[in-house]
Amino acid sequence: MKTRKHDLIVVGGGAGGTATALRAAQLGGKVALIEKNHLGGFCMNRGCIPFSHMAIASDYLHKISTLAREMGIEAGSPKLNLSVLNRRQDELIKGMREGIRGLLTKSSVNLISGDAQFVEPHTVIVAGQEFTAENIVIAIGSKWASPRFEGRFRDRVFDGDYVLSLRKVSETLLIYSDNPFSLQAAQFLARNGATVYLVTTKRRLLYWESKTISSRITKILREQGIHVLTGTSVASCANKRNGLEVTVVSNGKEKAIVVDKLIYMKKVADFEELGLDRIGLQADDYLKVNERMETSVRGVYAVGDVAAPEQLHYSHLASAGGLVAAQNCMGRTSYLDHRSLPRILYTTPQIACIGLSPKDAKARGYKILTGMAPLNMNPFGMIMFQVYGLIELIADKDYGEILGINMIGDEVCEMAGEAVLAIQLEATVDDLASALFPHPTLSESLSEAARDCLGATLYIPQSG
Amino acid sequence: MIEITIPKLGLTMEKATILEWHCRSGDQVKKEDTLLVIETEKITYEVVSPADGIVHPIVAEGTVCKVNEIVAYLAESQQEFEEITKRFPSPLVPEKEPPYKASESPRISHSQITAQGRIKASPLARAIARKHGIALETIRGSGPGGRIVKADVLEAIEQAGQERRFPVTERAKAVAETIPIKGARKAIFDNMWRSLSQSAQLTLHCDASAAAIIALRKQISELRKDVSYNAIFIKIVAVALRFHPAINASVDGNLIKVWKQINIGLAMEKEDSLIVPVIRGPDKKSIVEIEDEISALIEKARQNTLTPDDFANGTFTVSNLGFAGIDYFTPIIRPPESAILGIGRIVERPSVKYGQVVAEPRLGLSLTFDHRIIDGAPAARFLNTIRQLIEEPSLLLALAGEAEKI
Repeated sequence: MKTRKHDLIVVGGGAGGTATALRAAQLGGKVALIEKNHLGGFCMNRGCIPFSHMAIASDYLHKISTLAREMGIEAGSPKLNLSVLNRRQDELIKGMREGIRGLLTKSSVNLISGDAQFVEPHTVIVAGQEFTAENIVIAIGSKWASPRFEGRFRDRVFDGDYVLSLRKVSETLLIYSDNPFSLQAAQFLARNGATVYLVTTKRRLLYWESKTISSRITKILREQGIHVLTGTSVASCANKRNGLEVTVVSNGKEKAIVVDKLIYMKKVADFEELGLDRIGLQADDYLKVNERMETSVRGVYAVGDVAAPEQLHYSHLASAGGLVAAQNCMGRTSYLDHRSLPRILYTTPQIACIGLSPKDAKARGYKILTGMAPLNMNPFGMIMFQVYGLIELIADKDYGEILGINMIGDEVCEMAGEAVLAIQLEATVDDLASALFPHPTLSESLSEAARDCLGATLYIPQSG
Repeated sequence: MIEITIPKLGLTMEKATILEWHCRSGDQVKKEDTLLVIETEKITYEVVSPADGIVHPIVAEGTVCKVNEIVAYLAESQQEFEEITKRFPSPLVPEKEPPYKASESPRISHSQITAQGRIKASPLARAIARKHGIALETIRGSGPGGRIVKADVLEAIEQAGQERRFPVTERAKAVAETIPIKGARKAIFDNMWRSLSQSAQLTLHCDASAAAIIALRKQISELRKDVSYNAIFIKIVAVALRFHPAINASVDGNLIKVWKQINIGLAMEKEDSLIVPVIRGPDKKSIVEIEDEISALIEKARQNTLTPDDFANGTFTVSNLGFAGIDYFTPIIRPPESAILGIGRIVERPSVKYGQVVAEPRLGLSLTFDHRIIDGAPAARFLNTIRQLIEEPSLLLALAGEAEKI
């Protein structure tokens, strides 16, 4: 059997794997990329892209059916045609996949279709063909975990993919998840007429983010009619005549909820078939890597979801890690800087968190200043119906370093880039306070939040 | 309309730099008001207004101008002033700080300084450095394109290792005053540097009994008038130079030029700066004549009326720090001269005479010479001649005429 040699083998063609392969090829490497399914990975095929497409549709629906009316727009009673939505979604994804394939081909990346298995740290085998390389990057990503409840619940219990292939929205749904996508799914389903239970085992939604953001979105979801149950787990399910009886436990108390369907949304890495034991790699939920994206086995790197806990499954983190891994594999020295990692969510209103929450900042020993700018006091925010919008800014008291910017409001995902730059380029709170933001925009509130940190807001009355 | 030009302050003067304007365009000035300060290599000079009028400077500070070049106009009336400003509309731009040259500081890699001289550093890095009193120039940037980031400053602080032991204010080196190096200071600055960087300077020390010159000075005072020790020293040095002409020389390219004339500069302090006016041909003059010349130069210095000619064509310099209680020092040669004599204080020291230790007034002598063209032995012989003449000034009488013939 002939062995094919490369400088670098990338296992997985998602955001992380693609970035790794493109960068390594750019640096002159002979690269092979192995993908068992579609290029684009979870993000493009089953995650960020379809979920944000769905969320934007539900946001439009919400705006047309309620807010537009307040502006005098008469649009009757708008409805979402799910089959049209899904068709557009499939077309979008198909186009994007082709785009990725084109990029990889143009960069002379050797695309290999199939399941990869490790033979030894520098060799993988795909459909009987061996491939060797000095370095191998594991970028296999993650998948929805299969729900495991005792019993058989055909057509009643699903994983996260269920949301993307709906023809009809059921009447009552229970989403059991600690994953951020569950918030978008809950809103989408509720907007389309379902009664939704959102059940999380954690004490609050988005438990790793700032409490301010978490409590605001919880309040918004509840006002929308979603039953948010925090600190609650699903104990068991039982088929009943009128549906699925889900027994949930909270503070030791049991409660039965009867629903049409249960959607279990938990993401797990998918390395069962990879044969990690053959190269001496141990993994629990995900692979541990250092800031050079190296695993404990020399020459084996891991990037993306496979190397991150569930709440950090972001494709931009995967691609950033991919660049770092590619550069290190090609003989450069490169490190991943997490400081400015943006965490965004296309809920209505949107959520964008960059840097640290106040709690994390304190835990790292910072003495902090906190500034707040509610978007309902921002002129453009008023135009845009920003009732709950808010920007929270956390800065270090000693030097004015901007540690975190947490935002909730319309279009804040687009403002995340400004916050990333501010943190990455090490702007201080004084810089932001004196930055020239355009008026009228929501972004003005970034400056005002910075001024609030300094106790010098201009357009918001100072409290105390 | 009166033209204000650069005055010719001496035969050798060809150009001057405008140091500072004391007026702005449109200012009403009176006759004798100072309009601007100019500097030549040797002096600074205040140019005064020849009449009353409205002034309009047209040349910026820092510009080097030729003698007689027009640098401003003086209008007699507002109408004339407006005509002048129309004809010469260029408003004066204040002198800009010279751009920082990266190559001047070897510690800085070129990349962390922009072409405009700005140090690339993140705002946070600047804030931390400011708070800890750390100069960004001393830090190497590890960020994109050599940018100094937080981590670099923190590393520098850690390296300094002083962070927690001393409060910032004690550790920091704060600027109390910023004094521009210009004018007379700039001239001294450049000359001293040029001197030490362009010649091989060596200093010899010895001491001499001062008893005889103390007596001589007293006798001259009683006979004619008070004279300074400097007048006596200059006479002695001038006669000694006649016997050691190789010292009275300059390097000119590949040539050593031995000067016919002996012109001795005398270092003086004037308002925190050093000036060295020149006494011409002291070998041919009496000590009293030399004293008169010194007095005249001091008076001119006081009146601020020294001209470039008063500084020109020195061939040797005497620097006396006796008044400051100094015994020996290493004076620096004033190029293109090749030697300088430093004179210390006269003080009573134990001295052995006829087997007895007695108190005797003595003084220190320090001769710095350019070892490129003067060897140690001839320099020592020259210094010895000076000592002999100081200890036995009557030899001046014996040798004066002889020296004339050399």
